[in-house]
Amino acid sequence: MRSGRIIASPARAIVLAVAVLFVIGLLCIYATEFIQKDRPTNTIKQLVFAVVGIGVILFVRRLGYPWFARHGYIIFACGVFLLIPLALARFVSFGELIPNRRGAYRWINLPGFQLQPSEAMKIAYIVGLACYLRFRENYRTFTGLMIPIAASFVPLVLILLEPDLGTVLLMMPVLAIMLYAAGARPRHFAMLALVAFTTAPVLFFQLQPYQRLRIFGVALQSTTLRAKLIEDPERFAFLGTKRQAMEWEVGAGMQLVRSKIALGAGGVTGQGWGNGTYVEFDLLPDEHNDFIFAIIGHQWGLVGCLVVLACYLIIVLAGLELAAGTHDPFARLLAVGVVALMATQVTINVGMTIGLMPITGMTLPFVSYGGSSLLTNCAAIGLLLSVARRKPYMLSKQPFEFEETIGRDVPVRPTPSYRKHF
Amino acid sequence: MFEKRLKQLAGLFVLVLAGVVARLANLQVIHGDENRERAQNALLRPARTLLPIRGRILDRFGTPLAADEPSWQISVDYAVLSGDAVEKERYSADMLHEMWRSLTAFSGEPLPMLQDRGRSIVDRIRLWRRKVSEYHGYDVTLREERMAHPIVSGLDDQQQIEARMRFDEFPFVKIEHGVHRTRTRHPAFAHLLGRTGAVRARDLKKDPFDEDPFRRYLPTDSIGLTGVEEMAEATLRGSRGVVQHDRRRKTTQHLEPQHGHDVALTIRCDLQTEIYRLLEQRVPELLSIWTGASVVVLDVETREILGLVSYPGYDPTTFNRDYQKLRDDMRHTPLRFRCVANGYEPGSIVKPLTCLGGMVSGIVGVDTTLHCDGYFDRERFKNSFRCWQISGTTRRKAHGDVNVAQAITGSCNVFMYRIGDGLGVGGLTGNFDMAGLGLPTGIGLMEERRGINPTPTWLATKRNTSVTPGIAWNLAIGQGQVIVTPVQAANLMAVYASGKYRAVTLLAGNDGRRVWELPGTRAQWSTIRDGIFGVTNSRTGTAYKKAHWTNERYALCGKTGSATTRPAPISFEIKYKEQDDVARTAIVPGKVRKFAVERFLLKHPDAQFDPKDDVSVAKVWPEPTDDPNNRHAHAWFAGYLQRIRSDKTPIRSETPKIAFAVMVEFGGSGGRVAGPIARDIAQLIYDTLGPNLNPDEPPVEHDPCDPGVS
Repeated sequence: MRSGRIIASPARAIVLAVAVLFVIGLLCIYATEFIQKDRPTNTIKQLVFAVVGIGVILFVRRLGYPWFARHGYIIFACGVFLLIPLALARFVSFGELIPNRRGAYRWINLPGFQLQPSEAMKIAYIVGLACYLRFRENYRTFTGLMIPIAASFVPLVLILLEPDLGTVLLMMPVLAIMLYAAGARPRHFAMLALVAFTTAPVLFFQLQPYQRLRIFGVALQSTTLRAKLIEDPERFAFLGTKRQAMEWEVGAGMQLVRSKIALGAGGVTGQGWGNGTYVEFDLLPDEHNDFIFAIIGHQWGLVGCLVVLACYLIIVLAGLELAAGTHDPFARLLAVGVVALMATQVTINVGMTIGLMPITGMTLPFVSYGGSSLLTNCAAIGLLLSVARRKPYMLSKQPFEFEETIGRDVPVRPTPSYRKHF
Repeated sequence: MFEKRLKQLAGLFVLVLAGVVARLANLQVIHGDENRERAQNALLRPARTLLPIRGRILDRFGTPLAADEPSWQISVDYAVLSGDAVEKERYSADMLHEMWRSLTAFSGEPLPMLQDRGRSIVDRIRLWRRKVSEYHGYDVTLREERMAHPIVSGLDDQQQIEARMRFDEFPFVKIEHGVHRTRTRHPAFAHLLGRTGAVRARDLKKDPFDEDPFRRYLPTDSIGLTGVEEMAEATLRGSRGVVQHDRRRKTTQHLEPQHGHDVALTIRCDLQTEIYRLLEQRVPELLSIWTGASVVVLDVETREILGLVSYPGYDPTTFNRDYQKLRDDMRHTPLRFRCVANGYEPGSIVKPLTCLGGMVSGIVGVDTTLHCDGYFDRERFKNSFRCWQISGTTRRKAHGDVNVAQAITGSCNVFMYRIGDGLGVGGLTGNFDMAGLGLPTGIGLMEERRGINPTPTWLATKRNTSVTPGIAWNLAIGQGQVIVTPVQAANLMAVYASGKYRAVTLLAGNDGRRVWELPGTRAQWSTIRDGIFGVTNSRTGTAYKKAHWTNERYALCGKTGSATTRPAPISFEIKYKEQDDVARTAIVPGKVRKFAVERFLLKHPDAQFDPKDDVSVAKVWPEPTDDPNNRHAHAWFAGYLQRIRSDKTPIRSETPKIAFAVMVEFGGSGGRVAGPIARDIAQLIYDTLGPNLNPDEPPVEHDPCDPGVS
């Protein structure tokens, strides 16, 4: 990638993109909140989170990825450890420490703030995976490949127990992308895909009816399909009930229908900041949160949407640029992991807003209101920037060759294969 | 190799974004305008229904007799009424029981009645739900199932506060705003105005306004059930409006409700109340045994009904509380609208009609004289067909030689038998038909009964008898199968007075009714009118003693009549067994065996008995006596006011203006009871309508005759 650099200064590009996204997010949150309620409490909170988030970026960047490389497994273990009480909360009551909100146990109440371990787990997961996959034999053989997958299942199952389907949906693509970037063999991938395909129906029937409806909601957007379901409810029973089809626009499909209307009403240039029915009135649930992309499209139209998407494209490309630029396998995997995290979040969130993906509780990084996900994403960006900070030594080996390293640029424990190479 | 993979990943993301952008372009550019419009529509708030006000019922002079007024109502949650709340253990059964007890205590209405009301609401909503569910193809939940429904209504402000305090402990009881149908308290109007009530399931099934979404009945609507409220339902009922705002408070849809139209009756409020007062005073005074009476006053020319009184009435404002008592009073049957719903034998009041038929068909001439020796063909029929004067113990002289006018004046049966013999059943009933007997009067009330005109076809199909001369003789004096309602009797008098039949009306401005002339020459008609004039104005007249009334302008003319009757059952005894096999007896009030049994089964669904053998009459009224001469009869007096000269001779050129009929049940034969009442009514009519008997003469004093809307 040396030859064809797309982005000359990846770190600056990333910082710029994140800043633009921050600003857009704040403007949206302010617009919906101030016009509807006259009291910008959420905006102020988000500003505070942004300041803290900048601190997190700087802190993580300063800490440097080698620190994470050294403590990768410990961080992973800590993340898993924090998830255990949440999974247990389903069976044992922890009182106010782990409250039940909307039927899920996702937060630990600590003095001063609420911890959402599944968010922290995202970082821990990437770090842990990067730590493991930097060794060649760990991903080139099938058994070696099975270990990270098996290890992934521990946090996945724990998070599913909370339950937090969104995080699970996020971690699976991250795992796949990291494995792919690390160099897993195509035939192993094919096998994994086969396993995933065969287990998917089993998992599907484990889902709650409302979760299943969300998945089929993507199909039920189609008026013709709904008409068919209404006409012949028995034949199309797997899609949903006749009633759900008839009450689609006010029932199961309400959020999706409205989100598409809000987006579409923006047209090319949008209704303008603070204008438009969906900004002025509380018509779209979670408009400042999961569905903020719809509000962006409502206010700034296609242009605004393209700007936001461009920012993410910059982050992804710059991240991959950094990954290609570093010689440290850990750093490269880390960068790929962070990029995968960002890209997956954006894909799922934007996809659900425009009706191409099932609706899950996924935020738009740096734009959506919410402290936990903001800080997580900030930490991820901090990691990315720390990768950028450490310029690779030109003399060092290309990563992912034959050496074992422990996260530094210089190999410390030469292996036979290393010696053979020289 | 792996850098290639990074490139592939970048490419993948670019592909994903391309898909996203394509979708965005579709939503924002291709369907942009459409979505913008939908975004505007998203501001719409649910439309609100605006309820119409039901039209008022006015009397002839615009005095409101019934009107919608704002009031308070006690409503109970649907879940409680339907029993779901108990099933789901939200509230205990004891608590609900306590609520019902409090409601009864508060409203004074009996518990079964309140519970019935609740059940009927639930029934209606379930029916509606089925209807809507069938339409959609899946089970829906109605908005009404989350609402509270009125159980007690018509509370004033004071009662509202009281109710609030009293029902505070029941979270499912709500004191709400409502509209209450208020009507005059005066019992004279109770039957006439009728009642409104909640829409019944059958009204929803057969809804005449089904096509119109703003007019069709909703399960929470009220509907006219009886009387004018039912008759004029289509006029009184308005149509709903709708209003819709968007969230910017801009009105997007606004359709004013069409309030119901007022219905102006032809009734004179003052006449109505005064007649009722008169009956209330005179009937118990003149009769030791009485059940009720009715009076109908008509304008002869227009056939507008000026007074339509059924006595006894009831206070409509306390109807709900008194319902059980009113329903079970089988002797006075106060719920019965006697003027239109009760039929009686017309008796002698059809005799002028018989004579007219006789003259028209040439059986008798204007001056034909026949001899009455008190008996009709005594050799063949012994005493069966005799003149009224010979009956009983009082042996009076027979009429002797009488002409048509004298026969009417003396009410000679023998004369009528002869005519009847000539006309036969077909001829007589043809006459009845021309005078409107057995036909709907055109009044339009659902309580109306047509009476019976026993035509040969009717006799053959309904009574399975062939036509015999005896039937014709009886019909000629108004006895036998012929049945007439007081309204028909009054209209018959109007026919005598004017020679024309016209359908009557209760509604002002209701023109275009059926009208026809009866046959008969001027001389024949004046013979009849002379006969009727003589009844009350000549010494030989049957009602001269009791009903002679004249003043300088008018003389009361009319005909007495008596409808023979028998003591009728007022309660039944039912011997029954329930599951425990213990023989029990129950006394059930009722006039008809079938209905008494039906009502009994409602309360005792498990009772076992033979409807034929185990049900016997427990009590009849009046008490039967052994005296064969003391036969019971209902008394008629039907007449009109004839303009007279100062020498007390009738002015034939002036058609009488007002006709009326008085029916006093168990009033005995002849004019003994009905006569004095008729006289009072004549005076009353004269006093009320003024010297010209103008129905539109404004009331002298407005206040005393204004019954007021309570």
